[in-house]
Parts: sequence; structure tokens; C-alpha cells
Amino acid sequence: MDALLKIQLLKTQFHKKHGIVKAVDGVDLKIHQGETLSLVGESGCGKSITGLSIMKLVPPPGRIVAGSIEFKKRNILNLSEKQMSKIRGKEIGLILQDPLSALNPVITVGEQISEVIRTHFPVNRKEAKNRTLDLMEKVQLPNVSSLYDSYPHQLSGGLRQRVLIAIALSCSPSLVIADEPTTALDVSIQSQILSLLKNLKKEFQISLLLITHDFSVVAEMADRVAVMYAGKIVEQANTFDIFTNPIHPYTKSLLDAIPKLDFSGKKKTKTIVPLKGAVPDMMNLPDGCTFYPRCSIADESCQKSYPKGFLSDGGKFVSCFKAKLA
Amino acid sequence: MSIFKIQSFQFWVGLSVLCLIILFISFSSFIIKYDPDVQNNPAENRLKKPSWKFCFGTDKFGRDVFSRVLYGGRISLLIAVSVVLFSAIIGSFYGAISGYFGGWLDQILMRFVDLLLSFPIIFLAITCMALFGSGHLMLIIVLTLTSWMDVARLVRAEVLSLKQRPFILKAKGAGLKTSRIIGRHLMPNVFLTVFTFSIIRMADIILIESALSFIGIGTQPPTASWGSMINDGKSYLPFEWWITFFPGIAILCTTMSLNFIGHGLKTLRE
Repeated sequence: MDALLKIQLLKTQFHKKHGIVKAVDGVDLKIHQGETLSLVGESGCGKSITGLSIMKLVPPPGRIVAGSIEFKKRNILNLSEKQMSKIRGKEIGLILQDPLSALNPVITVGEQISEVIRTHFPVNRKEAKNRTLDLMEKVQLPNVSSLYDSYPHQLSGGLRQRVLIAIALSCSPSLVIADEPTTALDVSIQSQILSLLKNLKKEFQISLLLITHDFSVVAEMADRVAVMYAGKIVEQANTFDIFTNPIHPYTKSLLDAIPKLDFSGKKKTKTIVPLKGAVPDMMNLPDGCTFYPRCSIADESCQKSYPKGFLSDGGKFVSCFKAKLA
Repeated sequence: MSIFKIQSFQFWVGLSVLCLIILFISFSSFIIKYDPDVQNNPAENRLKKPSWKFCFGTDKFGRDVFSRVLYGGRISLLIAVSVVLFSAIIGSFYGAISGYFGGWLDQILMRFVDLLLSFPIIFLAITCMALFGSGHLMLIIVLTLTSWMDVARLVRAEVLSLKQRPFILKAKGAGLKTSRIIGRHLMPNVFLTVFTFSIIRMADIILIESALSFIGIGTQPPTASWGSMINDGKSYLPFEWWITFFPGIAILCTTMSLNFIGHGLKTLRE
């Protein structure tokens, strides 16, 4: 099966006065039709920039310097800004993290949905409004006709996120990029939004690129997981394999850092193991493996060069020298 | 966001005074007893002190100062409102385009603004009026051309920070046209800033118009504007003080109430 989105050796860099930030450094990703791929990693490791690169919306001074992004067999890096604006919103939808700041405070929510429909389809205002009301019902917003004329600040966080989902889905895109869609919401609302996303994904037959740092979201939603560290994909596998048999030490440490409930009392209580250190300064990455300074199993050989990724049995992609031994 | 939330005492004083002034000026034709421009009054009516008959006194031609203050107010306010309106429109679009696109376009547009701002307004206005003649229309054009740059700078600064906000990213991500992002998503967000600035700016325009009329290149006689009236009366100071005093007070009240309103609106922005 051909991939809907195929990213090869993508490099996005920020050329600043004091040096180059390699935010995305040679990322390979594939998303198939109807699949949910989750991109996980700590803050500042290049997840969001990967998502924005796909939309060609990397904020300046950021630039895509190498690689290719094939979407529906077209390399979108070669498309003009005008062709790109026909893909944005229509073919690829975007859901942002904080639903309050992602909505324009001075425009009614209905207008913010219907303007997207009017941009991409030759429909009049009335028809656009009807489609908007349908859409608002599909994302399970209550009292749609009165909500249509409300302003974002009058809505609760969960409702606002539903509005953003409606905007992303308004032109039935084939791919939706959701950048931490539930991070700004409280837990009970999170699960509602996630199950809504799951249902809509089925109904609209979309593929989903889910950017998150929350492994519970990954477990709930993803078919496959790509773990990202310092601009590179360090491990990629099926969701089940990631949780049951993580190979890369970074993935292992991320999973160890999740608080677990254990009431049985039988096991020795396993406390949370925090991952020491922080994502390295992206302007000044360590030589060799970028994870080396924080890695528990690294030795001198890891300092020499960056480990080439290899496919382990079961189709897992891992880039670590020690992984074969582990 | 309602203006009734403004709790500044100054704001309400300013608004009431301004409303009163506008009310008087709008209905001036029903209030006045004498034609403000006609000079052929009997000689004994010239340079009269304020009295029951002429409540603000009369000038050297026997014209009623009260009528002239009201009629002059029409001219002064009309000029101020048009200048502020036009420069707000021009400046907003110029600044929004400059700030939104950034880069070399921003550099070029802003250096041009710097260039225009390096001339003193009065000097630029005098030169233009000397070259192209005077008149109300010319006054409006010249003052607009010399005052839109401040709005452009203000809007540019505002847009520079607004365009970093996620809702602009959302709008781009939804594939909206650039014209729509600027017109529908950025402009309404800078409206209050521009409005507040324009209100305060109006006071400046009234003063500049008065200054130009005072040196004789603004409003031409016999038409009255507040500045030209002060100019007329200056040779009769200090004895026939009422000719300059009342238009002066009118300018003072108007500009002060505009400033009060402007500062009140600023609190609304926070």
C-alpha cells in the first residue's frame, strides 16, 4: 500500500545569529491511509516543527533545507505558496494545542468555521452556514444555532477544542495534524476529545499525525509510534511493541518516567524514574549519538558517530549502537 | 467589552463635554442670532464687550464672536475628524502590510515612513499649502499626508506581535487568503488601539489646524475657524480679550475632553 504522506530525510533549520538550530534533522516518516501515527518526545525535540514543515508553515527564520515531503505522490516542497494554500485546510487540517489562543477573540466561532468552507468551496454564505451547523453537530457541540454566534471566550475549553476540530475537518481533509490536542484540557475533557477524534477519524476516513508527549494519549489513539529526540527519529514501531518491548534507551526512560498505579502491594513499589538532564542545546549538539550524555548504557563508541538506524525483527526501526545487545 | 465598564471619572467628564460641544455646534444654526460672516453691522457694534446682546462680545467688524465660535467649530471638527479618519485607514493598511510580511518589504516601507517623519509637520504643511494653494480640502489632504505615519508605525508594532499568536497560525493552516488574514483577522484586533490613538490625535490636529490658520495659511477669511479667530484677535490683546479668549477656550475644552476620552479608552484595552 502506498503511503499517503511520505517524509524523507527532512531537515528544517533555524539560521540564527549565533548558529544553526537543527530542529528537524533527517526525519523519515510514513503515514498510510487511515492510520494514526503518533510523534512523541520531550519539549523542544522538533515534534511541532515537523508538523509545521508538512504544512510549510515553519515560522521564520526557520527553513526546510533538505529532504522531501510527498503528499498524495506530490512533493509539496516544490509547490508554490498559492498551490500550498489550496492544500492547507482542504487536504491537510491542523489542530493546535491551546484552543483559546488558537481562536480569534473578535470573530464568532461560527464565522471562523464557515470562512474556511467559503475559502475552499464555491458556496454562498447561507450554504456555508448550513454546512457549519452540520459540522458543529458532528463534533457534538450543544445548541449549535446559538453557539454559532458566540465568541471564543464565552465557551469552555472543551467546546473550544471541538470548534478547532470542526475547523480542521471542515473541508474533509485526508490528513489531520493534531499538535498536542489535549494538553491544555483537564483529564475528563481529554478523554471526551480523544474519543471524539477517534470516531471522526473513522467517519471522515482521515489519517492522523498526533503530536504529543503524553503516552496515555498514544496508547489510546495511535497505530504506530515514532519517538523523536533532538530532531531525529530514534525509534519507530507499532504502539503495542513500543509499550511492551521498547528498545531504544530513550524510549525506555520515557516509559519509566510515567507514574504508575500499583495497589496490589505484591511487587516492590516501582517509583517513577525521572529522565535526568534535558534535551541538549539544539545549537550545540553533542558529537556522535545525541542521546549519549543522558544514556545509561552508552560507552565511548557512542561518542564517535551517530548510530545509523536499522530495522530489527518485527519491522521496528531503532537507531542505537547498543540496541542489538540490549 | 463595553464602554460602560470604564470607571475613569475623566473619561465621563470628557465624553459629556465633547457631546455638549458637538450638540452646540450641530444645532448652531438654530442657536445663533447673527450671521457669523456678515460684516455690515452698525459701527457702534464693533469691539463690544460680552453683554446680554452679544454674549461673547463682537470683533473688529462687529461680528458676533459666539456665532463665529460655533461656526468655526464646525470647520475645525470637520477637518480633525476627516484627517484622523483618513490617516487611520491609510496608516492601518500600510502598517499591517509592513508588519505582516516583514523582511525587506517591511524595511523599505518603514524607512519611507522614517523619511516622512523626519520633516516637521508644520513645515511640510506650509510648503504644500504654499505650492498647491490653501482651502479646506487642501488642508485635509496635507494634514492627512503628514499624519498617517504614526498610525502606520503603531499598527505595524501591534501586528508584529499579533502575527505570532496561534490564531494566525490557525488561519494560515486553514488555507485562508492573505488578504483575509490581514483584513478579517488582524485589523479587528488592532481597531481599539487605532481608535484610541485617533481620538488623542484629533486633539493634535485641531491644534495644528489652529496654528496653520493662525499664521494665515489655513482657513481663509471671512470663514471662521478657531485658529483663524485667534489670529484675528491677536492685535486687540490685551484689551479686547474676548475675541481670542472664547475660541481659545473652545480649543482647550475640545482637546482636553478628547485626551480624557483617549486615556479612558486606553484603560479599556488592558
